[in-house]
Amino acid sequence: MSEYQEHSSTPQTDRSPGEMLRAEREYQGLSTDEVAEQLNLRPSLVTDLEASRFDQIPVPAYQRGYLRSYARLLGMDERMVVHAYDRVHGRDDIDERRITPIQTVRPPSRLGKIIFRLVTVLIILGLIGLTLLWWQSRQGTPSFSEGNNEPSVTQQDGPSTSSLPPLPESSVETRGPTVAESPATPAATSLNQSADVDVAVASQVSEQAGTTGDTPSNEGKLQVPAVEGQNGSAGRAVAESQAEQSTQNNDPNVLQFTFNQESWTEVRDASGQRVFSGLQKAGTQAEVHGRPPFRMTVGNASGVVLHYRGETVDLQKNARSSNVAKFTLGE
Amino acid sequence: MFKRLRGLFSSDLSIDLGTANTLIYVRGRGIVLDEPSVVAIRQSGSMRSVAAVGLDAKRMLGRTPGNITAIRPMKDGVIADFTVTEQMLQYFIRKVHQSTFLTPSPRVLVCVPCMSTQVERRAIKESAEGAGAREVFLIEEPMAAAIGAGLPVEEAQGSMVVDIGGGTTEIAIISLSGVVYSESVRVGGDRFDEAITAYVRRHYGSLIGEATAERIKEEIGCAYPGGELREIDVRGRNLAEGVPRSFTLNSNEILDALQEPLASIVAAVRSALEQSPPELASDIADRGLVITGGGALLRGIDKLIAEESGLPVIIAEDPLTCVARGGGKALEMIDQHSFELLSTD
Repeated sequence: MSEYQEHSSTPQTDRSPGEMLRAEREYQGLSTDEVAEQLNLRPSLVTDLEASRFDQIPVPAYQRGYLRSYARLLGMDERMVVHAYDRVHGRDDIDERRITPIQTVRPPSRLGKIIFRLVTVLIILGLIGLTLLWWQSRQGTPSFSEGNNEPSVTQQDGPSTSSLPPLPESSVETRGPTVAESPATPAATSLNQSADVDVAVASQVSEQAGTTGDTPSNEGKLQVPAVEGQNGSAGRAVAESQAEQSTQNNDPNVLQFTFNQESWTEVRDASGQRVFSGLQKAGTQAEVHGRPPFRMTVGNASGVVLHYRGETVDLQKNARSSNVAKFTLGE
Repeated sequence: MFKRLRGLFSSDLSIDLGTANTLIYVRGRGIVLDEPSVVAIRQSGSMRSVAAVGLDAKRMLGRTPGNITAIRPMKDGVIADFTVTEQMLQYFIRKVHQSTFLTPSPRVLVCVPCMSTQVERRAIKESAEGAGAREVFLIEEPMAAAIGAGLPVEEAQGSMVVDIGGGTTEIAIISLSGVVYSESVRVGGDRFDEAITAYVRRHYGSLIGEATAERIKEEIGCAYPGGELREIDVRGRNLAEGVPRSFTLNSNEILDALQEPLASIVAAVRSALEQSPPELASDIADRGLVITGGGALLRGIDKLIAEESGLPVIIAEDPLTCVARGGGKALEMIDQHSFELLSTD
């Protein structure tokens, strides 16, 4: 706009558009009639325009249009006239003010797209994670209640055990090979630890292992299965000794579980109270106290050994096709 | 359902889907896009992919190797190539919505030529829907142009608009938010270019391209004799010698070249005046007619029409964007009143 103001003399900028047009028309020596004829406007309209009277033209679009046509006819800069008009009358069509100059927009940024995709994926992953957590917590609720039952349950996980024979069957089995590799001392010691009853068996084993250990190496290799077998029998002997021990434990209120594999187990006693439940890890033992009869659900029944009143309960018999045993004991 | 959700993140658009240029007006932001309606298609084997759209594609017009074709998907104001138009619209709509994350699904108002057939309108509507629009409104171009030029379309007074676009010239007499009479001639900027090309071939024995013809029209084109004489240096391929030759054209020659298309526009204006009801004709005689569209930029077009019709002639302010702006205003009015300005589908 400044360039138009520079182009025109300073007093002109303050004048109304009509005055600017009249000055220019008079300068060019034209009459209003001539102008009206060229613009196809009524002569009165031209004088009105010059006097800035717009009663006859109620619509601003026409007012501005006529002024611009007039200015163009006289060879003036129409924008200058329109600016003068705007100064006086303002622009009633504010919408047009808001219109930004035409510009070409930058192409959509790839980065935004990538960020958006990333955020979406993260949100989806988060939702999936939350769902999983919720699901797990729902499944895990029984294991939380385990804490309540703790007084009645004695988990046997190692040296902290008090009353019961520690060496589980599985540990004997797993130690079998080690016994074979290195002559029977570890087995012997562990057996020594286990119980006095075992001492005789253990010494027998160590003697046999000792004799095999004396033979030449290749012969020793050949002997390994035999040793294993002997150790296996030793294991059986231990199991028997355990059985002997548990016969001492003839209390009808006690259940003894040995979990060779992971299993979800639940036991309810006569009062209907849950005395034992939860996911048991492989290689653990548990002793459950309660009043018979026990209603129990043992998952993965083939991997669990249950002793009750000194007898091994056949879980397989009670297990269904899904390998879950559901039955009542001690009726 | 999902479209509605995405709609929350998109703004309403008014699209002037013109033969030469496509303009997009965004509600509350004004005109944000003004690009040529040109799409460059790359053909690799049986695969067709869009190589460029808009300005970039226009630069390719007439300069493409065998595997790229620059297409103007709109012809005479209507869709000539449906799929390409859809892709172009999609590109433009995306471009306008650069800041939002979701794929935009705006409400769109598209301007259609008033003489377009139902089939052509449906094609435009479907192509806008295909480009992701949630809802498509159609408005007749002269109506949008009149609103954009600030004419009192809702009053019981006749307003006349002559919208000289790239492909068509639309003439309409509007009163009470309705089109009383409308006329559409398939003469516009493109025909001017063709006329200039033909003139140069006839008088100089040289071939010039579309882009050169357009440049000549913009720089020295005029519709009315008088005024200063302008000249332009042009290079074209001489038909006889087969080599590029340079020559000079002046504005009088171009005036001569443009006589025929200009005559059809004038004839259409006259016929509109002849057919208009007397009351409206007197309103128009009193107030005059308004010229919008790119053709309004042709020097002396107002003088020509004023002389031929005997009416006051006003060139709208910013004539190129009138239709898009008018569409934008109509879009704002849609919410206010269920809307008789919109054309029925």
